[in-house]
Amino acid sequence: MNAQRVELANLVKVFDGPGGEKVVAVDDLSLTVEPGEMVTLLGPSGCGKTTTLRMVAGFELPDSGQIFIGDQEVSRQAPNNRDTAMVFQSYALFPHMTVGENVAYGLRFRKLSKNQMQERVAQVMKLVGLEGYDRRSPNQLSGGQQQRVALARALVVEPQVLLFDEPLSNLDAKLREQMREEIRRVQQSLGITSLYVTHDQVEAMSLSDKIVVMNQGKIEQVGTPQEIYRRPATRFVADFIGKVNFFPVSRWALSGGQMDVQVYEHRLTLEAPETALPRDIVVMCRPEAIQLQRDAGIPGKVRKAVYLGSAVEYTVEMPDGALATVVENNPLPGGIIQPGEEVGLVFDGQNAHVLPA
Amino acid sequence: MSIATHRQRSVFSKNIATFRQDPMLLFTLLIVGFLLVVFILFPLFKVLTLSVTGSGTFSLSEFRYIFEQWWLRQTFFNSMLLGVITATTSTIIGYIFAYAFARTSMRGRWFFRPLAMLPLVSPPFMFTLSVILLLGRNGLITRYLLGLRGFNIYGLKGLVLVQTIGMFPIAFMNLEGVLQSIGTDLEEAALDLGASRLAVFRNIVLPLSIPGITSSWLLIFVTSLADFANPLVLGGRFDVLSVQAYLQFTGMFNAPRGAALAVLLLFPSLIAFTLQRYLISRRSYVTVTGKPGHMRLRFVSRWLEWCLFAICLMVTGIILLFYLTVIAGAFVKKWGIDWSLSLEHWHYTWDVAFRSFAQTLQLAGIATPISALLGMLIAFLLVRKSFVGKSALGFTSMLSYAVPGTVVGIGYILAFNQPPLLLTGTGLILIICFVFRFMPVSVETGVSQLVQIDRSIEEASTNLGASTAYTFRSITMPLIKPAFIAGLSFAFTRCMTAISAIIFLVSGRWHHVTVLILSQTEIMNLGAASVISLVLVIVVLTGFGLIRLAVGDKNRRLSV
Ligand SMILES: Nc1ncnc2c1ncn2[C@@H]1O[C@H](COP(=O)(O)OP(=O)(O)OP(=O)(O)O)[C@@H](O)[C@H]1O
Ligand SMILES: [Mg+2]
Repeated sequence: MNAQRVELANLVKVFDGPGGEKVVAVDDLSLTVEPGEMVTLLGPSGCGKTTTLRMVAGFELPDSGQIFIGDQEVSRQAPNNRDTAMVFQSYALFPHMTVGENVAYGLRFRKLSKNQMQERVAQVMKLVGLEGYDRRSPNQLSGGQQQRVALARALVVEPQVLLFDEPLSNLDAKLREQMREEIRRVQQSLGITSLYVTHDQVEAMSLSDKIVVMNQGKIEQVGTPQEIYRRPATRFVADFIGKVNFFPVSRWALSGGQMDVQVYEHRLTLEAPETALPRDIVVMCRPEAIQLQRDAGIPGKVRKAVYLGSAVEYTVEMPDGALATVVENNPLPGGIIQPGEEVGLVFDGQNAHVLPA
Repeated sequence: MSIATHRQRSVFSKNIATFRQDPMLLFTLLIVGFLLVVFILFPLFKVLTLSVTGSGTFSLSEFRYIFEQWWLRQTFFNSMLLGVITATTSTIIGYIFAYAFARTSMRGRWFFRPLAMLPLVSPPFMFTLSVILLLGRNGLITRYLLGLRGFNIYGLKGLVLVQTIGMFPIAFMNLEGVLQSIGTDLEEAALDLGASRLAVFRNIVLPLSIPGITSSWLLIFVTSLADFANPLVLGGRFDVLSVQAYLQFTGMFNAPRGAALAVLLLFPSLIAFTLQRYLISRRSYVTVTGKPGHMRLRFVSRWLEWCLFAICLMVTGIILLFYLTVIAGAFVKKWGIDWSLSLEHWHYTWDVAFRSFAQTLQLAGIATPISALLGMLIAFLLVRKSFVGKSALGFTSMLSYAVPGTVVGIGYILAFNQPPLLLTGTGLILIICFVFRFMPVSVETGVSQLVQIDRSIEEASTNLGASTAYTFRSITMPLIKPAFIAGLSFAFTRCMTAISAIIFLVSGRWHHVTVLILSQTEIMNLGAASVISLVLVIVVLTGFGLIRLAVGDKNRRLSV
């Protein structure tokens, strides 16, 4: 299969809200998905993920901007003429057809012989682990199996682009994890360019080659899961992905590729970011990157210690009264610091990162 | 074997236990059951027995006679033919409306919907009146605009026209619900896989609406069979069962033959109705997947949307024309002869119809709330309680839907013309007839509303110490208010516009306004008939408003 690049250029979509006001669902969005890549659109509810995806599928027409699949512009093409296939959140299985008929449906519109059709269906059913389920009705399947049928139905037409709109949100936690791996496996083995919408950061992290964090119709950051987690570009991204601490910076100076920052009277040396910084900045650090020590680091006082089994989560009061979160993994029995004790927060410059305030 | 009896016994003893725990339930069930048997089943039983014992002993001679005489045999086939054609045309038009409303962004809904619903609240043969005024021997269109002399609208074509206009809204309402419940994501999925719009309709939308289409068809078939007033006035030489049964029973005083014709009318209706129930009860797969979403995509081309618009416009145009005709008929001095305007018919109507109106309102006013309340009570029992004979109760309470009014009328005459239940000639028999005939809608809407309300709400009430009766009154009733309003509105409309059963039961003492319209039409006093029909529509619509006001107000006080 020859994978295609998908390119979105300056897409804008405005809806009429219920009160007649304008809702800008997607606001000048540009994005490139490289051939064979799995890119996830991640963001809070209402940020325009679904709308973006539906524009790629052709269910919504952009108010302005362009969509390319390969070299072909498809912005105004009808959905049935675009070579995309979508896996719906509700699965949208045809209830009056058997599983086999559901999967074969898309092949009706492609010039194939009966034999070829059967062969393709059998192949795909095997790929998603549904051999022998052809004659069942979708109603007789579990949620996870229905999900597989939906996936198979999209895969069988060998689309140039595979689209997913929160396909796992109707499944329970365990199944979700299993299906997540399944989707990733299938997508990678076939190398289909894919766009995946979710608001679950764990899902996004584990699935994607690249994550696109969206907020209010705009892209906040595009990057690999690692980049997004370790080097978020904005406070919004840092905050949206996982737990994070922001420490105030009272003074800072660049020196070569490094920068000196002063946090609560403590001096840290960090790697300087590539982009220019405004005057007011903060230092971000993930809770698990901080160690608590007795007599070193930024002073604080433990307010709360919650034992979580694999970790202890401390809430520490900083000198200015702000609260920081520190997670200690694999705590030793008896090693848990009690509320009220004075501690020092220590973290490596490599694990900290400056952001505009 | 022993396991079976054991299970039976345990079910039985469980019932005893329930009743002991809740004696009120047993008491209520006994009363409701008794009423349904006496006022629904017993009259039917009387019709059946008379039809096979007319000559004194058991024999099928009446039926043999009917099928030997071609003119009687023909009534049966005519009824079927009319039913099939009307059901087909109405369902097609209803589907077109439903599709246009549920799947397109067609303009003019604000205009189409109220007009399309108007036939549901119109007196039974108001459109027949219009058709006579427009297309009859002195018809405005046929005689004066086109100058036709020999044109004859009486018979099958006229009946198909008026019944279709009168009954397609049933299909429209039903099918709109069906189409709305088919998730648009199914269509999107099909489109996304490469299906053309036409293929999406053929492969997805149409197959998924087949159960709804069939069910609408059967419902209209039953309604068409039961129609009495339109064929009586507009049938001409096209004789149908309901009319012939009435004529034989009252006009020819041949009660056994009337009963036999009624039985011939009853069976096809029962079969169609049972089929329809079965279709509905089979969990329709529409609800299983797919989420009903907002229509975001155009599933039809602009061209097709215009076609749909044109059809909707044409049908509602006819309805509007029919209404305007009746309004004109009410003010024109002598239709076809003297076109000058006058209030003559209004004066005349005031004199002849006032008492009928007052009595009709009085009877409807009493019967409506009783009917709706009884319906809610039965719905409550069906959904929330378990007891032996539950499905029998459910079936019997819905039976009146299927039984043509003519059969009910004959049944009531036969059942209640002697002690201990000597009711013929009283107002009570009319009230009872109304209550039991128009209860099914209350039961049905009540059931569908109740199954959506989590029973734990009621359990919380009993848990806090309230009795079943108090819980029903203080918790259940307010929650099923929408169903109650629907039940009241339906019962009121039908009480005011009923005729097929009522015509057997009116008397010198108690009159009904629809019977008056009929007699005015029969003596070709079309002006007066128009006036009464118009006033009746206005009364029914006013009644709707009052019901909403009355029930709504009470609830507002509750919610404070
Ligand atoms: N058809 C529509 N009409 C009006 N407003 C719409 C429509 N579709 C989406 N919107 C609005 O556009 C914005 C973006 O919606 P969208 O469905 O793309 O969000 P989302 O990121 O997918 O959210 P979620 O995570 O909740 O699915 C929202 O404010 C939404 O209310
Ligand atoms: Mg969404």
